[in-house]
Amino acid sequence: MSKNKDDKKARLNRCKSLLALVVMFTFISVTIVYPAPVPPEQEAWSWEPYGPRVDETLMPVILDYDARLMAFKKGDLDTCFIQPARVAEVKDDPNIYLLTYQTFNLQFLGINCQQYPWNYTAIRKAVAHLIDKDWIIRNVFNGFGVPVDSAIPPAFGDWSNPNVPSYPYSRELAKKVLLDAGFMFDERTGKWYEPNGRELGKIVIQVPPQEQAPWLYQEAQRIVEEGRSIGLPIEIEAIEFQALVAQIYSKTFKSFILYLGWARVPTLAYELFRTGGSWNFWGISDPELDKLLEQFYYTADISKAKQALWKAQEKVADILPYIPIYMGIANVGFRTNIAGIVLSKPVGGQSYLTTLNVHHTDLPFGGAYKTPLGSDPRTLNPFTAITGDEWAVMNNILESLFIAHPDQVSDNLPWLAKSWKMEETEINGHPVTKITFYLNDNVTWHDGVKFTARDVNFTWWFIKLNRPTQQYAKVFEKLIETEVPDDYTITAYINGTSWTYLYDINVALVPAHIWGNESLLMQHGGWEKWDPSKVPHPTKSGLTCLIGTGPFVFAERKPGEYILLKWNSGYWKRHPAKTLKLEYTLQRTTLYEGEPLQVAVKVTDYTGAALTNATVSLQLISDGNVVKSISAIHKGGGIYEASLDTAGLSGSFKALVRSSALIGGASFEKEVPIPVTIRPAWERYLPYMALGAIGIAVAVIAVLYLTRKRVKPSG
Amino acid sequence: MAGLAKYMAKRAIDRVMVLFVALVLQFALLRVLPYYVLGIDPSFFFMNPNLTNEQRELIKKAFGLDEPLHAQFVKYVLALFTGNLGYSFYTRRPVAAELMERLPNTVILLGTSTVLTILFGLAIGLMLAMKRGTKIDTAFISASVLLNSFPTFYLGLLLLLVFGFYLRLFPLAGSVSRPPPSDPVLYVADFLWHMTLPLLTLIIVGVGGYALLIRSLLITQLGEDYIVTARAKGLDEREIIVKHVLRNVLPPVITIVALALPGIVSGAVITETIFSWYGVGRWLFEASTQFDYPVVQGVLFISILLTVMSLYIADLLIALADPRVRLR
Amino acid sequence: MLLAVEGLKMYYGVSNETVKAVDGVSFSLGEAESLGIVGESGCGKSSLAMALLKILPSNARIVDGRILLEGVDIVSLPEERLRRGIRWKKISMVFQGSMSALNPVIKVGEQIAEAIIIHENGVTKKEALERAANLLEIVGLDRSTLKRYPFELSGGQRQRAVIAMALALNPKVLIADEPTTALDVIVQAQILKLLRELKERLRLSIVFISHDVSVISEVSDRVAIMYAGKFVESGNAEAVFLKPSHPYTQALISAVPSIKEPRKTFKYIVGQPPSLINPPPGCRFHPRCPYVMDVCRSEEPPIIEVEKGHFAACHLLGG
Repeated sequence: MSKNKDDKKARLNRCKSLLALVVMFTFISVTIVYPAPVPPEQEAWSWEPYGPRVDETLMPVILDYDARLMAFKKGDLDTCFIQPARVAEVKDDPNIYLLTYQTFNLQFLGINCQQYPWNYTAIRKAVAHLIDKDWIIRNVFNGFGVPVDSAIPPAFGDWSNPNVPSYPYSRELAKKVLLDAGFMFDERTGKWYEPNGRELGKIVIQVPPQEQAPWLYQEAQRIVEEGRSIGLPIEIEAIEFQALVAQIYSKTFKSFILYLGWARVPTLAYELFRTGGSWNFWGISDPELDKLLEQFYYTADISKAKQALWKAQEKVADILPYIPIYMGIANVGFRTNIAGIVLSKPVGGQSYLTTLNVHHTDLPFGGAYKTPLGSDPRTLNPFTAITGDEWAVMNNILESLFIAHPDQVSDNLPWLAKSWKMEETEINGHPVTKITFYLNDNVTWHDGVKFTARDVNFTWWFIKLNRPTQQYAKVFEKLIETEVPDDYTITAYINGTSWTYLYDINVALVPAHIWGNESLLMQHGGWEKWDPSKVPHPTKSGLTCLIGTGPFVFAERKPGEYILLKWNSGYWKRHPAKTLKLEYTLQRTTLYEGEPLQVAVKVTDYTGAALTNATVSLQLISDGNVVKSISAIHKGGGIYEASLDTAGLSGSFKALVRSSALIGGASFEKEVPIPVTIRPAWERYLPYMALGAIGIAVAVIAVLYLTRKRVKPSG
Repeated sequence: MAGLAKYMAKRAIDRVMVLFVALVLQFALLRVLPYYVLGIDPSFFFMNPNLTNEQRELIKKAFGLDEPLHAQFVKYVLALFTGNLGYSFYTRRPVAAELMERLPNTVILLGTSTVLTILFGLAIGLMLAMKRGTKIDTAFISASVLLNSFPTFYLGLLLLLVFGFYLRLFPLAGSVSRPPPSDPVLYVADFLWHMTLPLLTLIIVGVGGYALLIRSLLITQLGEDYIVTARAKGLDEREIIVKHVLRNVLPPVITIVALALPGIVSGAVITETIFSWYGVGRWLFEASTQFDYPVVQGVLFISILLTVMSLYIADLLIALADPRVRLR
Repeated sequence: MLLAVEGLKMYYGVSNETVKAVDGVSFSLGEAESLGIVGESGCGKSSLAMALLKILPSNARIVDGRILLEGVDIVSLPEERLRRGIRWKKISMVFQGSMSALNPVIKVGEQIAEAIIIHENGVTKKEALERAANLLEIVGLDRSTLKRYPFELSGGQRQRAVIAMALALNPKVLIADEPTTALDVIVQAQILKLLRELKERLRLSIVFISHDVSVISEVSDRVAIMYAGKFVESGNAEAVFLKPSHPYTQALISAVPSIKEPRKTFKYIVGQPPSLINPPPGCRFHPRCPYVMDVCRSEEPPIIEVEKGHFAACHLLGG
C-alpha cells in the first residue's frame, strides 16, 4: 500500500496531503514482533540499472485488506503491505519474509502559536519535554516507529540536521523550562501562574474521537497525564476529523496530533515555516527564520540549500511551532521466492529500481510479479490521477529525467537525462535559473517513436498552460522560455533562483505525438476528461494511448478486477543478459579443407523456451572480415542446423553463430564466436605422407643396410 | 375494471408527487445545503486551486452553479430525465457511462441474491407457518434471528477465510480470474465460481428476515375466522394456505419485494468491498466519501426512480390481488 | 334420531392446566327439529359447537363421550373421513362474526362454489357457481351477489351468504353459533325467519346456540340451558320457558326485560361464571344460587324429569 514513489514531488495540493494524512490513519498495532529472516539472494542483491527481469506485472484489485492478506499468504500475490497488527501472523510463515523501512510520514503535534496559552514558547517547550516518545512508540505503535527530534527527519538523508536541540522526556525539565520563563507554581493550589500573575488557562490538544483513531487518542491521553502530573491544566478535545481539518485551514484550531506525508526533498519546509507560507498553520513569524528559509529555497546550489536548512532546523527546534514525535515504520511482506527488491538508503523506502530488479529466485528472467492494488484506479491520466494506486500503475509506464539515487536518497541518479547543468544567469536584469538537460538518444516510446527533447518541451509547456493540480508548481509558473537546440538537448529558463526548480521540473514525461494530438484528445473529452488507457492507440493495434518510455507497457485492464502490464521488450535500459540463449554443438573445431563445418544451434529465450522463428546464420571470419556465411535451417524444436563448405579455405578462423529473433515485438540478437582451424586439404594426407616418408626412410635404411659394402678380411 | 383504472390513476399521481418531493429533497441536500447554507463548495476538492478566478467562474457556469436556484433545479430535473446524470467531479466522465460499467456486475449478483433470498425466505416461512409450534419451528426461528443479526462483513470474511483461504475452494477476490478464460462457457463458469461466496453471504444474511416475516404474516392470517370456516368446509392445511392465506398475504409480500428491487441496482457496499466485486454499491460509497456529488446524485436518482416505479407496479399488483383496495 | 350426543366431554390444555369446556353434555336431535342452546359467555357453548364438527384447536381434545350422526360415532372417525365425508356434507356450521367468516379477498360465489368443488369430484366450476347462485336465491339474496366481495355486502346479506355456504352440500344438520349476534334487531328477525323457513322447506335440523334467550325462544323447538360446561335444564321450548325449573333458567328468563312490564330495576344474576379449570364442587351453580343448600355444595345434583321430556338438574327438585 505505501510503496514510496521517490520521484513524486510533494505537491502543495491540499487533496493529496489530506489523502496522505488519511492513509496514515490506518496504522493499528498489537504486539512487538521480529521479522522473518530475509533470503540470501535478496540480502546479497546489489541493484542494477537494467531490467525489467519479469515479463509481466499483474496488479489485481483487492479492496478489502483482510482479503489481500489472505491472497498474499495463499501465494496469489508476491507482495503485500503488512499492517503492524498483522505482522505477528506472517512472521513465522516460512514462505514470507518482511522488509522494514522508515516512511516519509512524520507524526507531530502541531500548535497554533497565535492562540493562548500555546503562544508561550515556554509552554510549547514544556509540553515537548512531557512527550515520552519511547513509551508512545512502544505502547501505542508497538515498536513501529522511530522517535524524531527535528522537523526534517533522518529519512531525508543529509537534508536532516542530526544536531538540533532536543527535548528529552523529563518532568523536571518541563517544570524547569516554565520556571525559567517566569511561570510560577503554587504548591498549595496546585496551579500554575503566568509571569503576569494570571492563572494559566487551559491547554488543549485536539485529536479525532476515540472511535475514529484510538491510537492518537491514547497518545494524547498519555501526554495529558504527564502534563497533569506537574499540575498543568491540560486536556483533550475530541473533534471529528473533517471539522478539525476545517479548523486547521481556518487557523482556529488549538493543537493537534496528525501525520504529514513528505516527498524525498523537503521543499515543503519553505511553506511550513515562513511568514505567510501556505502551510504555516501555526502562525509563526520569525525574520531570521524567514531569511534562512529564503536562503534555503532560493539558491541553485544544493549544498548551500542544505546548509541553510540545517540552520533553519535549529531555529525551528527553538521556536517549536510543532513538536515532531516519530516517523512511521512500514513493513512490507514478500514471498521467499522473490528477490531484487531495492531499498533506498539511508533509511529504506522502495526505490524505483525495484521495478527493474525484482524477480523470482528460481527464474532470473521471466515470469510475472503479482502486486495488489488496494483500490480500483479511477483514471490513468497522469495529469488528473491522485491516488497512490493510480500512480503505482503509471510509475511502471512513465519515466522522468532523473530518479532518487538508491545509495543516498537525497542524491539523484540520471535517467532519461544523462546529465544536466544548472546555472544562475540574468534576463533583463532579473535573476534567472538556467537548467540544461542532455538526454539519452537511445530511448523510444512504447509505440516505437523516438523519445526526444521535443517530448520534454511539450510536457513542460502543457503543464504550464493547463495547470494540472498534480504537477503545477512554482517552476512552471515562472518558466519563461525553453530552447531545443537539437533532439537531445533542452534548456529551460526560469524566473528566480531555486534548486527546487530542478526537482519540480522533473515530472513524468508524456509523448508529444499523443498528448499533442488535439483532435484525438477532443474526441475523447479533452485532456482532463479522457483516460488514455481506455483509448486505443491511433496507429499501433494492441496499444492504448497510455504509452511511456518505461519498462512496462499497459497491456490489459478489466475495470475493478486487475491491470496487466507486459514488459517493454524494446526498453532502452533492457537488461543485457535478458536475451536469446544459444546452445551449439560442433563436431569438430579442426577441419580439413573441403570438409563441411556443421553446427547445430538451439535457440531459446531467457526462460529456456524454444524459439522457432529465429534467423540463425553461421559466418566464418578471418582478420575481421567475413569470408563465408550461410543461413541455418530450422529443424524443429528451436534447433537450427547449418553446414558450411570449407573448400578453398585454410587457416584459423572465427566461426560466428549469429542469431536474431523477435520476442514480444522487439528484436534480440546474440552471437557466439567459436575458434575454428581449417587445415589445407593436403594436410589430410599428412599421416599417410608421414607414413610414406617413414616407409621410404625405412626402405632406404633397409636398402642401405642390405647393400652395405662387405669388408674382406685381408692379409 | 373501471375502478381499477381510476385507482391506478390516483396512485400514479401519488407516486409522481413522491418522486418530485424526493428530487427536491435530494437537490436541496446535495446542492443547496452545502453550497448556499453551509458555504462549502462541493466542487472545492476538485476545483484546481491553480485556476484563475475567471477560469473558476467558467467552470461554475458549465456546471450551472451561477444561476438562481429554481432555474438550476429545473435544469437538473430536465437533465436527469434525458439521461444526463451529470459528470463525476473525480474523473470528469459522465456518471451514466461509469454507472453502466458497474451495473452488470451489481445487477447480476444482487438480482440473483434477491430472487433467491425471497424464494428461500418464502419457502422457509411457509414451511414454518405450517409447522408452527413444533421443535423445527423453534429451531428455525432461532437460526433465522441469529443469521439476520450476523453482520455482513463478519460473515463475508468468515466465508472468505474458510472457503477461500483454508479450504482453497473459492477465489479470494474479483469476479473473474486473472487473466480470464477465453472460452465463453468457461468464462461464465469462472464468473459463477467467483460469485458463489458473495452470493452465499447475501442470501444467508437476508433469508432469515424474510422467513420470519413471511412466517408471522402467514400465522396472523391463520388465526383469522375465515380459516376456521375453510377448515370446517373441508379444506386441508395445504389447501387452506395456498388458496386462502396466500391471497391475503400477497399485498405485504408484494410491497416487500417491490422495496427490495431498487436494491438490486444500488448494490451492497460491504459485500462488494469484501469480495472486491466491481459494483455500484461500492462506487456509491466511495463517491460519498470523496465528495463526488454528481455520482451520488446520479445513483440516488436512479434508485429513487426505480423505487417509485416498482412501488407503482406493486400498487397495480396489490390492487389486482386485493379487491378491497380498488373497489372501496 | 338424526343426531345423538352422549356424555360429550371436551377439554382444552392451557399452560399446564385443563379447561373443562364441555363436561358431560348429552342431547338428541331429530329431523327438521331445532334445538336451542342458551348460556352465558364462557359457558362452553362455542366449544360445544366446535366439538360437534370436531374442529378442535391443537390444544383441545375430546376426552369422553360419543357423537352419533345417523348412528355413526364421529368422535372415533379419522380426520380424513370427517373432512371428506362428514363435515359440510352431513353437518355444517354457520359461524358468529360473519364478517370475518368469509375470506375478504375472494368473491362470495367462489367461496360457496369452493365447498362444492372440494367435496364433489367431477363438478365443473361453472356448475358449482350455478349451484351457488341457486343457494343464494334460497337464502333470499340476488344472484348477482355471486360476483361480489364480502365487504360489499351489508351485515345481513353476509349472514345470508354464510348460511347459503353452509347449505351448499345439503347437510342434514346445521349448527348455528350466534348467527345473529352482530346484527341489528330488524335484520336479526329476518335471519331468524329465514332459518325457520329453511328448517321447514329443506327438512333441516338446526342446533342454535346463543346467549340471547329471546332469540332462542323464537326459533327453537327444544331448548337446553348450558352452564359451566353442563346442561342444567332441557326440554320443549314452551315447557322450559313457561315452567323454568332450574334456578339459573329462572334467573335468565327474569333477567330479560319485558316491554309489557312496568320499568323496574334490572334483575341480574349475582356473581361471575365459574372457572372451567376448577369448577365449584357439587352443583356448579351453587355459589350464585339464591336457594343454595348444603347438599348443593358437595354433591352434583341428579337429573330430574320435571315433566315428560323436560329435565332439570337441581337438588331442589329432588323428591
